[in-house]
Amino acid sequence: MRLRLPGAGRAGRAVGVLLAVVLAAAALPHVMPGSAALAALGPTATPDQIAAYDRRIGAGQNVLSGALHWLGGAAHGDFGTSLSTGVPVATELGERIPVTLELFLAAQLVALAIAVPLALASAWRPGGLLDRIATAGAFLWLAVPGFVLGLVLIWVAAVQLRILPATGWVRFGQDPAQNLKDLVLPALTLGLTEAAVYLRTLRAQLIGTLDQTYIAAARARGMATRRLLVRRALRPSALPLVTLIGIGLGMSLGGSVLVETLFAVPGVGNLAAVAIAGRDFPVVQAVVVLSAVGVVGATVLVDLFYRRLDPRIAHEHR
Amino acid sequence: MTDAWTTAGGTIAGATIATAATATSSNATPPLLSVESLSTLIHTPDGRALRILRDVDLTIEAGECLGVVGESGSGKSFLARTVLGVHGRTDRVETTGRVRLDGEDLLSAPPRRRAAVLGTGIAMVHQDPMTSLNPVVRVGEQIVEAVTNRQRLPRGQRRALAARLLQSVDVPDPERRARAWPHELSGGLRQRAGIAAALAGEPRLLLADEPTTALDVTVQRTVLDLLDRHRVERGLGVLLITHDIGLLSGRARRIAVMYAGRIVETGRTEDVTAAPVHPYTAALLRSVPRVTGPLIRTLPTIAGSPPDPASNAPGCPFASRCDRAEALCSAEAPPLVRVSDSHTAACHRPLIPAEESCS
Repeated sequence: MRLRLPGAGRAGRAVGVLLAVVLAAAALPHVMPGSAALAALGPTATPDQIAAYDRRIGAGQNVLSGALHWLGGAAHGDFGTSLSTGVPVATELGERIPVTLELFLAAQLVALAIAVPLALASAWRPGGLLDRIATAGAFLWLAVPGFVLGLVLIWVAAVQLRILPATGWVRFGQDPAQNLKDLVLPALTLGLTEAAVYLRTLRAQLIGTLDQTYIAAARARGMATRRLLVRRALRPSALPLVTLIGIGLGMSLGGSVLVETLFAVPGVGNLAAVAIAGRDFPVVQAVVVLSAVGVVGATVLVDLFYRRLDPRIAHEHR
Repeated sequence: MTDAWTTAGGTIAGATIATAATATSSNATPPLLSVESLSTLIHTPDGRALRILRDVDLTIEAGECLGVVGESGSGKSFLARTVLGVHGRTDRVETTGRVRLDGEDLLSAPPRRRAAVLGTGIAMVHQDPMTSLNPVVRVGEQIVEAVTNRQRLPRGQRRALAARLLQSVDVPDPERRARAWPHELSGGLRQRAGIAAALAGEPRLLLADEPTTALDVTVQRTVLDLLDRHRVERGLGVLLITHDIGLLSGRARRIAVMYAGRIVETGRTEDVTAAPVHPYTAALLRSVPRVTGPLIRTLPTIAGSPPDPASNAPGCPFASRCDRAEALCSAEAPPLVRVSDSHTAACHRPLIPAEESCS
């Protein structure tokens, strides 16, 4: 007889995924091109120095013992020390994760504030003027790379209008007003790009929902259009959007390399970009595992949220 | 009565126009619902124009049940939606004629006035209770919509109202059912919830679009009895749409038989079912399964299918399927004419031989 615990299969899969990623991350020093030691010590390093350095980062170990070593440290909150700065990786991440999450949340607000009303209005009259403009616009928008949009925003807001800083970051705790100003351009760049994806996804789903009998039934009871759309059509249409946001949340823990670099936002993505260029393996390793934790964690969150959105899902899994 | 075949076209089918006296008395108090030469044209995205309803006339008095019967695609449901004034979002529907509720024409009324009637003047019970309730909204919240769309109610009052409504449609344990999700209820309970939602706004007219088609036969009867009870208790006018003419006996005072968007025969239920005049009505009656007679036999069906609503072919729409059709039938559409005081039919070759024939 097999013992079945609720959620056991899912938790098991999540642990499996995380272990696989830890293993892969431990293999990084072996598979990444170039020598970490050479990158760190410079071309004048002696063979002895290089050997000592390799021992320090575990490049000489086999992958499995490297992974176990890393896990042992991680269990105590020790993710190693940055090779380039000498700062503990845990400290570094602790400072950068809040920045990345703040940027993510602000970008989601921008994306949803644009996508949801537009999707509702477009889906109510598919093929109408607004729908055609929004659909064509979203399509064009998707073709614009994020960094191009970022550059345009910098040019307009920072260079021409001089109302917002082009780059830089002040912590919210230090100066909330300045922090929000710093946040605007990167959040817009991320959010506007996502808005196009959200708009297309939500619109398609809403059109299907609005054809349902229960929508006609609610109209027949005299429900006004706006209330009908927001209170009755949005929720049954939201599942794919929630999935997208969840994936975005998971990926965001790894940081948005492009936007954080462009605007010099000191988030995880910025850290990762610098670490990869400098062969800073402990940092890269930690960021890779963090991304995996983010994706797995977000998947669980999405699952839980699904059940809140659609009671039938909770029913099936009971 | 020298000529029983007086043309009734353009006036209210089923209403007596025999004497001037009755005509004036019906003018004094208008019927609850009066549909006059209602026609609809749907413009499809590919540029075709579909005639769904053609010159439909009918009336319903308060407390009366009118059965509208016809096969799939005859326009029954579309008739209900047109009376209600709610079509699909993307349908481009052109409507002509009159839909009067207590004498007030809704078709020419401003949108705000029409919206005010939804749920409170006219309410609808939908065919499939599995799809007519929003799966992510609790049953109770949906039931009270006709009220909460007009005024804000605190949660406690909404729950109490929902429970009261569920109780009025014989749902056991109404407080718990009001908090349930639709998928937690059986089909019969869901349809009761649908009826409760329709009754919430205390409408004067109920459009019931095949309310029992999706239900077990055992549940069908109780749901229909429930509708009857509210009709009598509240003086509710009921438009009962069905494809099952047998179901109307004893429930509907009058019947209107629809075919290809037209009313082809109307009359008192017992008259129409006992002595149908239109061959289509007769064919519908023959296709009702009977409990008596041989156990195994072929159920008569009507060969062919209704005409394409896009076609504008002249003549009787039933001609190609009718075994009594003659040359005139495919050349000229028969007008709706009176067979007796309360019985009308649109047929060139009616089943009752007209004694005072119409040469």
